[in-house]
Amino acid sequence: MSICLEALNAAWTFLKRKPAFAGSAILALTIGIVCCSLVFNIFYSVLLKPLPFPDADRMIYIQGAEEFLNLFSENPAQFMERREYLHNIPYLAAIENGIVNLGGEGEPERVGAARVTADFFKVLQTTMFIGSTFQGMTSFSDDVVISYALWQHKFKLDRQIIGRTIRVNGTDYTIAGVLPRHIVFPGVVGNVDVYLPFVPGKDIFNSEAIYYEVLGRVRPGIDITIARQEMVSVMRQSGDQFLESSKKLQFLSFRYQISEASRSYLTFIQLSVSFVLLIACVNVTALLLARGIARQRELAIMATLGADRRRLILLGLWEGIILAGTGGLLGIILVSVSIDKLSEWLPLQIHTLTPLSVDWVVVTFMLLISVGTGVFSSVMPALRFSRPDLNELMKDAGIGTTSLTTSRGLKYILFVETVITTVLLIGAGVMIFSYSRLINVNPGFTPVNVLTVDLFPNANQYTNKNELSQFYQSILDKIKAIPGVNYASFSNHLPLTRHHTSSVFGVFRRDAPDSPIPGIYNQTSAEYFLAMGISLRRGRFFTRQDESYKHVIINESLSHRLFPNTDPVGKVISIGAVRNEFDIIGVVGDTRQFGLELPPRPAFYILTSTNPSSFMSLVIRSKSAPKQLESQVREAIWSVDPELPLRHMKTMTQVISESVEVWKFITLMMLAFAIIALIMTIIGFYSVFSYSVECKFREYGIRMALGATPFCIFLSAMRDGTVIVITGSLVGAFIAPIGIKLLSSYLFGVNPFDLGIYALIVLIMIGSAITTCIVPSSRASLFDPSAALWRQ
Amino acid sequence: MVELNQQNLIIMNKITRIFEANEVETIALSMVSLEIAKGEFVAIQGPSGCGKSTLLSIMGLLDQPTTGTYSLDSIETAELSGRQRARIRNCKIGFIFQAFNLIGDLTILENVMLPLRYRGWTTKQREEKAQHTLEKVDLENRMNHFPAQLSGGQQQRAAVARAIVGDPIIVLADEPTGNLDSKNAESVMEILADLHHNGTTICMVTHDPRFSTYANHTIPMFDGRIVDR
Repeated sequence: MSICLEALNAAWTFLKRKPAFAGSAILALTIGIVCCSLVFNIFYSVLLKPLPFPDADRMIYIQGAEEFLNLFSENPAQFMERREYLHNIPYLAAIENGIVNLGGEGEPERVGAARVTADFFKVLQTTMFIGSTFQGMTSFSDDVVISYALWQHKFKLDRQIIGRTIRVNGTDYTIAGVLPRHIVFPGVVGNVDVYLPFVPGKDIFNSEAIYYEVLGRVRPGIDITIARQEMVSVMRQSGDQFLESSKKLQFLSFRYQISEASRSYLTFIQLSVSFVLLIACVNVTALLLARGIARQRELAIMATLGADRRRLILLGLWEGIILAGTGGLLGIILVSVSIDKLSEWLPLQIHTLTPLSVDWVVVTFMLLISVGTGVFSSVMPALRFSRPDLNELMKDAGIGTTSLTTSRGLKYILFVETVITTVLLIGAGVMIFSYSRLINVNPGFTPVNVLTVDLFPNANQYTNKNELSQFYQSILDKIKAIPGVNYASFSNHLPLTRHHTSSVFGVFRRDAPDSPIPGIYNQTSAEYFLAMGISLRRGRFFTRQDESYKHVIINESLSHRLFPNTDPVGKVISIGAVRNEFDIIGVVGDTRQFGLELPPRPAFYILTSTNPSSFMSLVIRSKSAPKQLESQVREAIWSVDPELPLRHMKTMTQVISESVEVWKFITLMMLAFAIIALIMTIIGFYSVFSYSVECKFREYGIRMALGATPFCIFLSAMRDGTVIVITGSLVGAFIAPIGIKLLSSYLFGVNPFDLGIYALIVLIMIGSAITTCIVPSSRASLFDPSAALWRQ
Repeated sequence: MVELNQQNLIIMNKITRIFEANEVETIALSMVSLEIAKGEFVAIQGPSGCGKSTLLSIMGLLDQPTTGTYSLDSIETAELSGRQRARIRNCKIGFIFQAFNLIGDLTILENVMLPLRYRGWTTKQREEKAQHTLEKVDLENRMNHFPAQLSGGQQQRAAVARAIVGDPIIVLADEPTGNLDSKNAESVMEILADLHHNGTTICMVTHDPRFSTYANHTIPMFDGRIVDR
């Protein structure tokens, strides 16, 4: 123990004597630890942190495999009834997510809501923090359960809340219970704040097509595949018409369902940031090695005076641990103050059920990586210099000819650093190219000068379609009267928005009544295409006169699917199970509805006046910057309905930008880590290379004595540095594809093995190495050979 | 360049060398004048710090005097560029050091080939000449060894081979026997004596009076000056 403390004291004394050395090492380690810990916080919260539900590993999520087909819309009630026959799934709940207007007390606001069936809270296995769950599960039940967050934010933690009334979409409900603080559930946008009783058939959200999610809890010890087999078996026994698609029934763990989308890129980012930490470690190792070479004589003297190998190793290890420990403590402070900013910066697509925080797991992780980093950085120098060659060192022979090549440790370290940085730069390069291709995709409309806002008229206020239609028309009239507005229109499904649900209907040709093409249903008003800047391919746009007729406009994709090589204008199509017939009056260009990265899907447009939706987006095209119109637009809407909450007022340019948030997030993270890695590599390389050149002063003196010109010495030094970087970057380019595979689903329009990108990065690395080596190499060429050869 | 006396290989006239560090001036050489004829074997003697190595350094064009003139093989050196000085070192001068100063990363053969590389010879030419020179110093069996694998005497013989591989007109040796036992020291001195007999000019710095006897004459130094001819 005393040896350990002595070594600690000696290490501390040494580092105090070398503040510049200690400072640069601590800075490198702090950067590495902070980056790694911030990403670990996201990684842990999304993928590892226990869900806030007891025995969450028994929670399962059931969904149809085919995207956009509404698995349970045929008869959700019938589906839910099967739970009585499911022995292995004692609790099964249907959830319908949405957004509601919350009135009653305080400002009206839009909050995330979910209609849930009776077993929902049993699936979560939670009791209420105060109050109880729904008292009655009927269509007319007026009980609601609210989240702790809503209780805190809207009701200021009032314990007398139970039994009070809140207005949800204009209907009065009684608050039955408040969930515990830790129980949160992901909703359409953010977490759910209001839970309403759900009896299939009663649609609080007034949407035409509803996607019911099904959540279950299996018995202890039951595997998901067994539960699925049981479900299929029950369906087969009941002769369900869904049976034929039962193979498409997917049973997923709830954790998997909410985190799977972000697993691959979070893993890649965590891996990348681990490389940044590794580079920091490698830098510190190189610094310690370089310092160690200079301290060989000091260590030899210590050994001569009786210090055994154990003491010398401990001395080296303590130096690393002190450096990394200081970096870790600084890191904890920096992460604590920056965690809120990181939360704000996270894209909405990254679901964290609980807010990011520096909890004991994160602190433990940081302390562990700090100590680990310290040991990792110092073990090699400690071992290497714990056996000094006393005879040689005390004679001073060989001093001044230490080089990158003689000091193999330094050489390998710089090589590893170069390889890692090359891999990170290639990853960032591929993502940058991918992102730039993505944001340059033509969305099918012209986003410039378009302002949008979502409207959710109160269903109790506008009880029939005529009233709703008149309400929308009044708003359009007011908006069009604003100076600077060119066109204004409504749409129930704005492209590239996450919070819009889509409805898909079968579209039939008259002569092929059994071959439906799934088409996305868009309700618009007459000027929608002009307001959005969607081009006309054939026929004409809607006019107000079309409101009296059953006219439809289809997009090019639907046109090609339904009427290949034929002009569809004038043809009749039927839509949906009831086969409503419509005349095609025009064909418009495709738009990217669900993401710039996804191909356009067949879609059709019907005038909103015939059957207006309870949710609409207002689209306004202006002559100039649309942001300037925001206040006038608000006034115009509130002049029609002063209590109407407005949500998501943003330009279409913003909408596009938000739709690629995940790509932007990955690209920025990768770019940031690659730049940090490159800077750290350049700094590390420069310091080690400079030191190496200093160490070779005698060799350069010898070479000069033998006739080498200063330029020869310059080239010789340059070669020492650049050969390592060239080799390292080529090896990095060779292994980069292994890491990039993880990102393949987030690459768009770019070949992950694009030789141009790889060559560019290798050139950047070589260019950086040449730039880094120039100054030390120039210094080498200016060494005074006389001083070098006779210096002691 | 001024043409000087053809008989003298080295002519130094009132050479002074002053080093400045932290605003403190150190006079290493003071008004040193000497002449060394072609084919001569000269020994420079004196205590540590008397300026022997500085004098050798100026002779070898590794350093320049603060004042005074120095001509080597009829070439006035004061106005030479760095490139021209390097060229003269490479073609006309051979160096031998007390600490051998072999490059640890290179084999013995590569060390000996090094001066010829700076002369622009092809690898084959360099190898042939270096092998031949190593045979002269009985190191043909150690060509592919690294310096650390050789004894001190072998290392110094390799250093001598490197110094003479380019057929220099003068060999500057700084305490060539300082790190060697007497047997190896004798062996190295024999090689130098052979070189001298073959016409090479030798200028050797030594502490050891035994080896001064190999020289035609001795230049004693003290405190940066030549004290007696």
